Amino acid sequence: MKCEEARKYLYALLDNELDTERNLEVLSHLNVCDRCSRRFDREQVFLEKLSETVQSEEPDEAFRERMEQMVRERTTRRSILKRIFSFFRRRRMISSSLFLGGAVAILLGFFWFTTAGSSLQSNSVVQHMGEMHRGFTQQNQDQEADLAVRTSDPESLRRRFAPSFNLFRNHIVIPSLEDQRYTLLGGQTKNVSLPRSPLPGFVAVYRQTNGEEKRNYVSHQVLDLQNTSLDSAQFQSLREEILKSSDTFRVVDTGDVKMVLWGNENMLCSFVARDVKDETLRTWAKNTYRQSLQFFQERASRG
Amino acid sequence: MADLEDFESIALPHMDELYSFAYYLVGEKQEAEDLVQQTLVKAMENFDSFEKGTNFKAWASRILKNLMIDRHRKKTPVSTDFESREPAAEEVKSPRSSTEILENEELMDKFFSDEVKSAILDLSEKYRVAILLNAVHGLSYQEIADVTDSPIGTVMSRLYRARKTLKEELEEFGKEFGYFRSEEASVETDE
Repeated sequence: MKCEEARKYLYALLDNELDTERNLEVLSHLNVCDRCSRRFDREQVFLEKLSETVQSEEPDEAFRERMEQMVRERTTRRSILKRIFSFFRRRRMISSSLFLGGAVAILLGFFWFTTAGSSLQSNSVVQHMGEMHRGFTQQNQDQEADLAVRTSDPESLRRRFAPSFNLFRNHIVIPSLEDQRYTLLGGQTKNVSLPRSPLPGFVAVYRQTNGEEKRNYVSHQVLDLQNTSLDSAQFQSLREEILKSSDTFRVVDTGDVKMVLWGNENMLCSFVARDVKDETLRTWAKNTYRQSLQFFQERASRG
Repeated sequence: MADLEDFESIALPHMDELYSFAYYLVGEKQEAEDLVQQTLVKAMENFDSFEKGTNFKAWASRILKNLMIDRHRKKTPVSTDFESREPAAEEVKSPRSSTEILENEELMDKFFSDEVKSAILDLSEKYRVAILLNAVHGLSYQEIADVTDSPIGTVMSRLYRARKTLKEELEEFGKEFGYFRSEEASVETDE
């Protein structure tokens, strides 16, 4: 691919809009062309700075609270009215007697007190972080020995730890990894320390069933962010922690799930997230997109 | 079809992004707040037309964009009451040197933010909408095309031109304050 053609696709590459084949063609050109590569980096910096700037404009807290209250009041009112009309419509009792008036009043009161304080957030972030440790080390052996709960059934493990995650336990996924020839061993509580408050979590540990003396272990850490709002400092801290130990970074979007992959020669990590803010993933992805794609291509070719 | 009972949990987490989008669309805080509020009300009224599981940001942004267009069509000419305007960035900028600003990261970010806002507001409406849907919401080309009722090719063209224009406008500022290295910041012409 020549420079002129590669430059046509630079923005599409940065916007993750290229198909795999074109992606590889452009990246291959960038790997051998310093000029285009430098231009790519400049465009990337510019777009990141632009996004960062426009996204940093936030509403006042007072406005935010006003909107939340407005939404809650309107949706609660409409929900109550909808249920009442539905109730009466079914029973063909749209007459106004004192008895009915009283029933409506009681119903309103009931729904008001039970739903007014409700703030279920169905897009709370539930994250998995997986680490693959290559080779047999003392740490791995201890890890296997320290498990609080021993089970090979992912569902049992989920039921054991998920209740402590409050309302959205059903969002937690513990893969079986049998296809990748890993056996679930069990799990234990494992929190993550952040600047202001720890993130509660637990870890599921797997052992690779390759029959060799050298054992590989995989641990998937599940973090509960539902009741924790990570401010920018905390997210930055988490991101720095991850990037400190990594050379590469990649974002995969399957449609249902977004996965961020990162690692170095000895470690591959995955971060499986539902409904994490897009801009967070895109910011991380843009930082090392080119390098991470190359890294995973090389790994795939090595087998 | 979405149930109104889900509105709070689906919509509120995106409020900050809707606000950012509105703010850079209209350039003024109060108007942005009004737009967001109107958007939320309209979204609630029409929530039965929203398909659960699809991109709420894109759907709501379309409402917001249309409300903005309607408002500007109805708007009477702005009065020249300068005292009631927000202070312009230039009023703060002039006494300070580049060095002083560089040493204060928060101030630098504020200045850059003002420059970006000014540059974005200088764009025509169609380019502004496209660049903000991408930069604020991270929408894909197809999603932007759906929100703006435009072909994908048009979206790509608008994004390209908007970015080029912004880079030209921000180049000097970026070079002076180190956002872009001066030897690399020059806008390249396409070959």
